[in-house]
Amino acid sequence: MKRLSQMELAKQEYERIEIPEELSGRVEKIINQYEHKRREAVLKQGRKRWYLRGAASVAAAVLVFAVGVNTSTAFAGAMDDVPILGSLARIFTFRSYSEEKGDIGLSVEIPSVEMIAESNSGVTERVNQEIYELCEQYAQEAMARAEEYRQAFLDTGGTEEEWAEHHIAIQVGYEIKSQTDHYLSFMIWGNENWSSAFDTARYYTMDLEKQELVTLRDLLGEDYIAIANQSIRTQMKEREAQGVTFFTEDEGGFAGITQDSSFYLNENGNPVIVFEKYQIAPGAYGVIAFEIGAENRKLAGTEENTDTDIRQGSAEETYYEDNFAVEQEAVDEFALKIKQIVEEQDMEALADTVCYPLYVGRKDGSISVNHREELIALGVDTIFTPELSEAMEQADGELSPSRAGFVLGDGRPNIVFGVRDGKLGIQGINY
Amino acid sequence: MRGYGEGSSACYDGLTEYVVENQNKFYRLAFSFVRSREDALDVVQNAVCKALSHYGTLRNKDAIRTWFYRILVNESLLFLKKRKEELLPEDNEMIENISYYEKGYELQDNLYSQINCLPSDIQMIIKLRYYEEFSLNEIAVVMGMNLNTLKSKLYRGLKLLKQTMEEE
Repeated sequence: MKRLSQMELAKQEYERIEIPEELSGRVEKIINQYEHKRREAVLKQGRKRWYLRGAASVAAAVLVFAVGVNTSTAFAGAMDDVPILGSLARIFTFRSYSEEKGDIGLSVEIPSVEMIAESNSGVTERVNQEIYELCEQYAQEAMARAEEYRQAFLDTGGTEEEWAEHHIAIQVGYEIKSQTDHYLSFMIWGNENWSSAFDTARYYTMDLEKQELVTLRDLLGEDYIAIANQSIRTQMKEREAQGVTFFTEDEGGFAGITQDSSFYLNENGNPVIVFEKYQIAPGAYGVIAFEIGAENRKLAGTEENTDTDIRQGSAEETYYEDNFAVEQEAVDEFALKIKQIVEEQDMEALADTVCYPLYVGRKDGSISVNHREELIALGVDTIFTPELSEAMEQADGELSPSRAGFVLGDGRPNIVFGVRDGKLGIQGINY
Repeated sequence: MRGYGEGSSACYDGLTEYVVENQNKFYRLAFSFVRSREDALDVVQNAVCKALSHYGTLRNKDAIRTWFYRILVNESLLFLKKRKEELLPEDNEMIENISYYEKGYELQDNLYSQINCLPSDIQMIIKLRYYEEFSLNEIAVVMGMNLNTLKSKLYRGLKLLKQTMEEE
C-alpha cells in the first residue's frame, strides 16, 4: 500500500500551501459588492420579470443582455422585410430560429447587412459571411456545452424533471449601437444563462459611403492609441474615486489599447471602447465601456450603471434598455396611440412620435426620412393611405418584442416601433 | 415564477456562507494549478464573482459544493489555457513539457510533485478525489464528464503515477 500512504503525504503537502493574508479581504469585498447589487436587482425584479424565462434567476435581471423569448420562426419571417435603418444600408434578420432540445432552449437571430448602393468592395459580403459563421459556430458550441452538462447531470443521479428546472437558455443575436447616414455600428452577441464563461460579443462599425470597416485610427487619427489611452486612464481615475476597483497592470488590468480593441460608435458619434467582463476589472462590474471624446459630458459608465444613471436623470420618463425591457402595458398604450394618430391623420402628432431616421418602405421604392419637417413635407395623402388606415384599424392582439422592435399590423402595411435612446418611437412604416 | 423569493434567498445566503468557510480550500486548489500566488487569488476571485452572479442557477442548497467547484475548476482550467495561448510558441513548448509529465521535472520525486505534472484534467480529478475527498459521482458533476470517462481518466492517472513511483 505504498501508494496510499504516499497519497496521504501528498495531501499533507497540499494542505501546507500557504494562504495569502489578503484572500479573506478580497473575498469579503466581492461578497459585499454583490450584496449591494443584489438588493438593487431585487428592486428591479418586479418591473423586469415578465420577460424572463420561467424561473430564471434574479441575477439574470442584472445581465447586460436580457433574455427574450418570443422569437419563433413564423414571427421572424414577418420581420425579414422590416428594414429599420436609414438611407444607405439596412440590417435585417437574415435567419432566425429557435428550438428546444432536452429542455435546452436555443434562440438565434443572425443579422445581415445590406447596402442599398451598389457595392464593389466585397466588404459587406465578407462581413455577412463572418457574422453568419460566428453565430452558427457559437450556437453549436453552446448547445454542445449545455448537452454535455445535461448528460453529466443525468449520469450523476439528476432527474429529467430537475434538469428541466435549470431552464438552460442559449441566445445569439445582434444589437444596433448607432446608425447615421455615414456609419452603421452594431454588435453580435451570444450568451448562455448558466455560465458567463463563454459570453461573447463582437462589434462592427461600417463606413456606409466608403463601404469599409471603420477602425479606431479612422475615427481618432494617427495618435488614436495615445488619445484613447489617455481618455481611458482619466475616466478610470474618476470611476475609482467613485469606488470602482480596476485590476492593476500587474494583475492583468488595463495596459493600453491596441488596434484590435473592441469598440462601437454611439449615438453621439463617439467611439466607445469596450472591455469584456473580467478583462480589466473584477467580473462584478460586468462589461466596461469608455466613451472617447466625451470628456465634458456624463461618462458612459459600465453598461449596467448607465442604465441606472440615466433613469435617475429623467425621473418623469421611463428609460428602457431595449425592446425587451418595455412593459406590455406601455407597448399596448403606444400601439393605441399610433392607431389614434392614423385614424385622426394627425401629421404633427405622428412627427412627434417618430424617432429619426424613419424608414418609409413603399412599393415604388424606399426612403429614409431624417427630420420632422421632411416627414411633414411628404404630406397627409402619402403617409395616411387608405390601406394604412385600414391596417391600423384592424391591428390588435398582443405585440411581442424582438430586437428589431414591435410590428403593428398583420402583414402589409404595418408600422414598426421600438426603443431608441431609451424611449419608444416609430421606426418604420411599410406600405 | 417558482424559485424567486425565499428559496433563492436561502441559496444565496448558503452560498456566501459556503464561500467564506471554504475560501482556503479554493485557494489551494487554484494555486496547485496556476502556481502563482497572484494568479491563484485572481482565479478564486473570478470564481466567486461568477458564482455570486449566477447563484440563480443554483436550485438546490445541498448542491452548493459541486456547483461551486464546477465554476472554480472551469476558472482554473480556463486560466491555464489562456496563459498557454498568451505565451510565445517556444515558451509554449516549455510549459507543455512541464505540465505534461516530462523528465527534468521529476527531480522532486514525491507523489505530490508527480501529481502536479499530470495533464491538467487528470490532475484535477486526482486532487478532487484524494485531497478534497469528493466522491466519483460528485467529480463527474464538477468536471461535466460522464462517469465512465471519469473513471478511465482517474485510472490512467493512477497508473502513470504508479509507474513513476516504481521507477524511483
